[in-house]
Amino acid sequence: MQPLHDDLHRTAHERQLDLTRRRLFALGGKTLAAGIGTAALGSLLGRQALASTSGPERHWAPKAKRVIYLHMEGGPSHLDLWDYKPDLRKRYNQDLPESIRNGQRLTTMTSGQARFPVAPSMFQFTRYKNRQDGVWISELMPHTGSVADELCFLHSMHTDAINHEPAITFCQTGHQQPGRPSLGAWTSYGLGSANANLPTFCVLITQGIGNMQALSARFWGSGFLPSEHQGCRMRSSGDPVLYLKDPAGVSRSDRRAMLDLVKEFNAEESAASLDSETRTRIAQAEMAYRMQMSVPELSDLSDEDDETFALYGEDARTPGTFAANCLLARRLSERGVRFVQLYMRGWDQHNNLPGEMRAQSKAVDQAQAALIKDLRRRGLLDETIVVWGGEFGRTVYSQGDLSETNYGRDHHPRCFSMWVAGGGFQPGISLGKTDDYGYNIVERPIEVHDLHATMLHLLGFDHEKLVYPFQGRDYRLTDVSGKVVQEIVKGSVA
Amino acid sequence: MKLTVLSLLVLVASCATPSGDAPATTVEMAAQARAALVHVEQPDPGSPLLQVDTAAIADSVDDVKARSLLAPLASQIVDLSLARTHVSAASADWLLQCQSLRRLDVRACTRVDDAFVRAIVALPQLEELVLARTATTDASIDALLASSSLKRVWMWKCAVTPAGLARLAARDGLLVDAGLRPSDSSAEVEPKPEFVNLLPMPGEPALEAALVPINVNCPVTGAPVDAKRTRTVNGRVVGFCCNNCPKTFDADPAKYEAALPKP
Repeated sequence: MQPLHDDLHRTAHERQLDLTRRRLFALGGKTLAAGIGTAALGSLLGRQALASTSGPERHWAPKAKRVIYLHMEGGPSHLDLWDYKPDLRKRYNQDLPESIRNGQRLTTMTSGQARFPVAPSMFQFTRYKNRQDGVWISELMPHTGSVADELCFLHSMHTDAINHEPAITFCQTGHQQPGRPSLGAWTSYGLGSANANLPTFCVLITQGIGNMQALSARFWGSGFLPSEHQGCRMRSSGDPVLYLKDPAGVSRSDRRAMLDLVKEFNAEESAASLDSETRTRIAQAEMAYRMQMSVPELSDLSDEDDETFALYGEDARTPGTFAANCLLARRLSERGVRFVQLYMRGWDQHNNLPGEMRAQSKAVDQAQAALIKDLRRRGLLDETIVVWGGEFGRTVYSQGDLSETNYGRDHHPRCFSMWVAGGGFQPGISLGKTDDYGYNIVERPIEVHDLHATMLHLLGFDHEKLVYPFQGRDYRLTDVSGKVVQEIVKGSVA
Repeated sequence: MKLTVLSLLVLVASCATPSGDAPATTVEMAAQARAALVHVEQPDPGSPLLQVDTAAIADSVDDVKARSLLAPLASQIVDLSLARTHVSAASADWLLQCQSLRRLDVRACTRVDDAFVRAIVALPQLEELVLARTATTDASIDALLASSSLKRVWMWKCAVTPAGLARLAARDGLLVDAGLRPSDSSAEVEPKPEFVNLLPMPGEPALEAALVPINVNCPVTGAPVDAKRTRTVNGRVVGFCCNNCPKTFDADPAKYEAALPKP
């Protein structure tokens, strides 16, 4: 019998060839064409043998090897964090001019409001040095400000969706309707695993302080891609991964013997049915077996010193906090995990924005800055893409009552801010501008598809060519859209 | 020069097969390394060179294991991570066969020391060297300075002194990262925000006076006007007592118009 982990290393291409070769053998080599075909396949296999360990061949040499995506679920207010609009303070409580809103649809949470009073941010901003003439960041994010020279701000993101569910689905899968593979699944499919002892795509969730929206597992699903590419959620309490421990009385050698036997059955089934999911099943069982050893080592923070906790904040000692998850993300990345998806819930500040934003920001600011610093000093930042952002922005007008110390903001898809860092992104710059009200984009609009296209570009893929055939159509992460944002790619002539 | 010729030979040897293809022996060796859970991939489709990472089995990798798994691939490795393994200067001899190596990551390899660094800086293509959390000291600085190919070195938590780091960082074209950050990265802080309602609405006359409400009492309730709750009604600035009154006003403007002062 072949060594067990072989299945894991078989490329999708090899699996496809296997299928084709079996079909050719089924023809019995009766025709000359079939014979030639078999020979050609043999040589193809040789060509592929050194390509990436799974999935399709890269289109060019990548700048990044992995991704950490910090998704701020709920849609944090760009106006109170990153998009500096000091002149708005002279328009406090004025009505938002119709020329600015311009008929933009509103959610039903504010469409019935009599007025749309301008709510300037009550937070003080500081200009931090970067590689341009500095970037203005709110007092809520001082630690993040301290690494501004590593960050690339995108002030002109926009999305099509106005409510959480479709907007998060769009950010995570490139499509508003559920069912497509997530960004992490595409990355796993494209890059394959770089550490056969851990899942290629891991998901870490932090419960926020503010209003929280549902977080469905399909945000990290694999859609029509083989299910080995779905994200593996790591839990914050109890076992990080469920059902990983052997039950009492089952030894590791018993487990091995059981897996070997089941694998034999599955291999027979796979040979008969050619069902790729059976192979996935074998590979996943083997992965789980190895994770019994690798996950406890991963989640054991006893080898982290006090300096680490000083850097990330003492919160990092409490599992499930954003700080602990940032630290875990670093540990996963340094072990070669391709895609780490963090969710920070609770950024949906319809009311009581100032108080909730203070608490939310305090929970993420130090840790996300620490992640940047820590990746950098370990030589990992250059090859790791870090993305920070929500699914949309928030309105400049107040939802509900406006006072100098309290206001709320509704969903705003027309513009929002994100930042990216490392992995071949241009550090220390800002791109794109919004109007005086932070309501419309006036310079260099960037759609979600563009960000996805740029991320794939840095990972070595042409987003128009990284496809997966499903139901008669070649599907892409970027569907029929997306342009690489050359201005933010390091070393690129924009 | 000798090294350049050597690397050229390696390149010629590796290009013996058409672009992107690897010799059969390398394919076998790569398969062997993968079977031991070493990550081996060909990142650039236009080049036969390999990226190798031992992350999955780092804790079990020592000099003997590293040599047996990776030395056969040496001439084709362009990017090698041995991070968190137990390799030491005893691995230097086979590492020196990695003539195409551009990036070497020995982060957190506590047995990597000055002897290791002194040996591997002879690699002719080595541009990036991650030495963070290794046992290297100031005795490595001269060796690092002697390399003509090095562009970036990471030395966070090594036993190197600030003076040693400064000497290294002074070298043109060499970026040194020792995990130090500028103590103050802020350039200016804006004054404490104050909210006023001063600017005219777009398209209105740019007169501050234009924003003083024409009424003293709210047209809906008769209560005193809150100066912050104003809006324009037919070109006039009308003040209200609270946020709810404009809604009531809008529902029947004619009814409340009478309560406003005549021009």
